[in-house]
Amino acid sequence: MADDRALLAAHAAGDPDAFGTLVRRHRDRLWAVALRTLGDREEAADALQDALISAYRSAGGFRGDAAVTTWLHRIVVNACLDRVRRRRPTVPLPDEPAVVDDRTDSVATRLTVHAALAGLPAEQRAALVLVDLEGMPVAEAASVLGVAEGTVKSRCARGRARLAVLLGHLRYDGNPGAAAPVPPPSRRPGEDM
Amino acid sequence: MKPDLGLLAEYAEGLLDGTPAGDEVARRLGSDPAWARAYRALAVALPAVRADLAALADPGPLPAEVARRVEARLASSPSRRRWRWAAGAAAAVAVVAGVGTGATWPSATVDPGTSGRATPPSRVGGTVVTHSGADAASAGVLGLEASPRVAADGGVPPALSRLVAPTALVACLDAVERATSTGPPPSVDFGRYEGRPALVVVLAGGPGRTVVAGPACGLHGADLRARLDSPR
Repeated sequence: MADDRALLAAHAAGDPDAFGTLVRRHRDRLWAVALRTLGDREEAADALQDALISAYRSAGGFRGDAAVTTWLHRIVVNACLDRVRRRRPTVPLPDEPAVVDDRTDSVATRLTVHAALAGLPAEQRAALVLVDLEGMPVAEAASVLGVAEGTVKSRCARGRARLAVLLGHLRYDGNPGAAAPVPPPSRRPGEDM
Repeated sequence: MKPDLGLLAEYAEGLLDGTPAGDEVARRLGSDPAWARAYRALAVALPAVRADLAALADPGPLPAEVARRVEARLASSPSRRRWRWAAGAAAAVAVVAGVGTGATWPSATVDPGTSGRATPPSRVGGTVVTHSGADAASAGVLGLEASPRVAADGGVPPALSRLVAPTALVACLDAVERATSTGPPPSVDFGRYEGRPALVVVLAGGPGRTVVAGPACGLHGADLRARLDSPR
């Protein structure tokens, strides 16, 4: 069985079947990344289309300084981030955590994990999707995202902290100068974020 | 200075070790009760976050419908011709006669749309309806179905406009089901076959079973024009 590099080279050389073989090999994981990064099935489908077409056309420019899977993920993540950035600005999050919410099982006061991920800045979300959800090593995630490993670690750390708030594991006890995070579907009467 | 959640998060994960920022956070944790309280709260919350993320369900495999959309887009790419994409390496074709009538398909709304790319797929009964405008006569990229496309140009051809109406499409799919002795098709695409407007119907029973129905589908039988068997 040809390896990924051989398939990409064959495609660039005109082999009509090589790209399909390569995509079939990795499509499920690429789909998972797109869906988790965008949180919307239709948008993920469109992003994956854009990405695969881009990969198809730019295969001849693959320099081989990363694994083919890393290259494919990079194209997919960039397509997703482009869509996120065009979609809407991220709501700023207040910066003062206070006490642990000991009633976090209340569905009414929590966002779902999917919704919470959607409330993160795009770069933090992408890092968390790759590292925490897809299990990608930090070094590979850094290559996919085109940033230093330390930047990936920082985005993951800050993203997890924001998720702690959005998921109701951490709450604020009042911070009049701060904007509210993405609000939960409903809130217990009298409870402040 | 109020506690900085981002700095505390990085500190908690050891990312600030040996840095001036880390020293500053350590100093504040020792002198500012608000920072210390926030840090303790964060330390308790982070394992719960990791547990939530770990429990998130896997999205599963790439859906066949999405794969078909990607194939249609790739098939319509000018570079496809440049790379001598699989045109002509198509599926074996056998003409089958359309027989039977019927209109027992569950009713639903159908969005006619204008192209597979711009219009999200709709459903009629349990069948996904797409409008790729693509030709089913050659092998596809992702190989999920036996209805790969080439030269997609989008849109519903006038010859198929009658079938945009949900009742007409229901009658057509019911006729296809009867003619092929299969269950409700998982998907139907408003496309083409050998350049002519046609419905490309993926039959129930797994990938690789696809038929092509003509514009008269549902009027006096299924108007089947071809059966496409998977090249694999």
